[in-house]
Amino acid sequence: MSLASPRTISIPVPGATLLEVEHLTVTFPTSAGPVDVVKDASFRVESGDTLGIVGESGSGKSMTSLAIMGLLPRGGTATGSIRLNGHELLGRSDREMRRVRGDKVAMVFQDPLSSLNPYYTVGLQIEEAYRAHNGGSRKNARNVTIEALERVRIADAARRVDHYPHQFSGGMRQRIMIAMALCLEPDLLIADEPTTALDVTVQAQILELLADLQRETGTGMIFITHDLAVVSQVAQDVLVMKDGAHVESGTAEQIFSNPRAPYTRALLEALPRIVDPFDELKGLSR
Amino acid sequence: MTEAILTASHLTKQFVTRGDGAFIAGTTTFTAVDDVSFEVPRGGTLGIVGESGSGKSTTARIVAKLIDPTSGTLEFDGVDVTRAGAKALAAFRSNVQVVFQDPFSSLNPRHTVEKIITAPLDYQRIAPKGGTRALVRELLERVGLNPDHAQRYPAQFSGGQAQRIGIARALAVSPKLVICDEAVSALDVSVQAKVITLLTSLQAELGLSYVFIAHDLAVVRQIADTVAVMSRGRIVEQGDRDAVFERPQHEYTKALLAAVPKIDPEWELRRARMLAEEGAGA
Repeated sequence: MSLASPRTISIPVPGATLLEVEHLTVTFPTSAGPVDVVKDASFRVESGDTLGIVGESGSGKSMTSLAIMGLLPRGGTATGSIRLNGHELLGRSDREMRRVRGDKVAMVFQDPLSSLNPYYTVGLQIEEAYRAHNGGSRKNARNVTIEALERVRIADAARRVDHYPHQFSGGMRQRIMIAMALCLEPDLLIADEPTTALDVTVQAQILELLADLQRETGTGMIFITHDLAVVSQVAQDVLVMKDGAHVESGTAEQIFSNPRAPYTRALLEALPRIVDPFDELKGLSR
Repeated sequence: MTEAILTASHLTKQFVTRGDGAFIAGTTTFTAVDDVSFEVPRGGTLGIVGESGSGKSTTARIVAKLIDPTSGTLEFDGVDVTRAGAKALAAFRSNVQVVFQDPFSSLNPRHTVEKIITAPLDYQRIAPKGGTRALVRELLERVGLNPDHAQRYPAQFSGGQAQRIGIARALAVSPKLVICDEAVSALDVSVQAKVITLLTSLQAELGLSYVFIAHDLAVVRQIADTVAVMSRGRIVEQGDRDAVFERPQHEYTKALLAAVPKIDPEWELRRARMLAEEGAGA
């Protein structure tokens, strides 16, 4: 399959390598000389799986995802290799990257309100995104949009499609962003702190929705978060980053039950807990 | 139950919104805080948890006397301060201070740390005994910052350090009660842990009482002695921390606790054993 073709129907093979990032370094020029905000990061995402990237502020987790999308802020340069379905993404023109975004890779951001235009109905915004990539009639785009809203479990989608962003709650708006990303049937979905701005009960619903949709579509996912507990619930594989550098990676089970890096251990220690699992053991050892 | 430093009785706050002149006619009344009563234990911490729109921040603003309640009473240190006049309010302000969520937007970027920390003293025309300089040094040291950094500006500090400056400012007037409104929510988890440790040790050293408001249940569990759970302007459940977290009675509290993401307990247990073995081997 070729990246250049406008629309290829791809049935993801579970476990096949979807994204392969090798020695990714992202550099920004500053008055004090170039600064590497991502240093030699390597990881892969399998079809149908979720890679969780965890780190604190300044860890480079968001810059990594922007590099994959070809959306680095002005002045930023990426070196190394980013291969999607075996095709190199680095070094492609803006025009080619516009095709990749949406068709192959879609992104959901933290704040759904600032990602949506308040002046247009949500339906129009999803239709626009769909038609920009797939063309076709407005009528078809509208049907696809309503279907996408139904898939993200928005009740009464045929009516809600004509509502404006402010008429939806924060959780509903995030569902709309997910619908917009998924109606393009991307191979890879990058979710950057998608539940951080949401209340905990709403967060639980969105996490469940993402897991269900992934099962239905087989999309690979990169889930970026600062929250270790969230990542433990959504990801099969975990990459821990700090100051732009790779700290530790492995399966979620390895990272959470047998962390090797002192930083990972410190992060886990610092995590406040509703139930402290160490209480009992601490009591025994003292 | 220990003696209360602050008692809130039947607090209610209503906001009246006027029609917009075009589509919405007349006025509508919105009850943000609805008949809320609680006590803050002296030298202890009351945690208030709730989701957005629960009324927890409005409650915080009433307790800090930044806004007046529509009805209900607020008693601080045995004195009714609900309708306090200018003089009583000044006394209240030197006893009750607030630490806000976003350290950078609550610190004036053009002022030095010294000026920020001493602002409450200037405002209340209090002259510290040993002089301002000495007090600033002492406060910076107390919150774990370098006392030589008094002439620096907020932008020269990290988020966690900036929040320590906010705490130092709150402590400048030697308050008895500090209201922390989402005071650690904007911080990274490792920084958050350090600021909570700081708050706990300051409480032990200075005998402070806290009202700790947060949406994060796990954080509240770490610091609070008693907990009030708010939903839609009402307190749906309150009591001793362990009782609320371990034996929640109200359906909303149960749903809230169930929604908190948790790491697989089996993984946690295995890690705990591993760490214990390593500790024994060392």
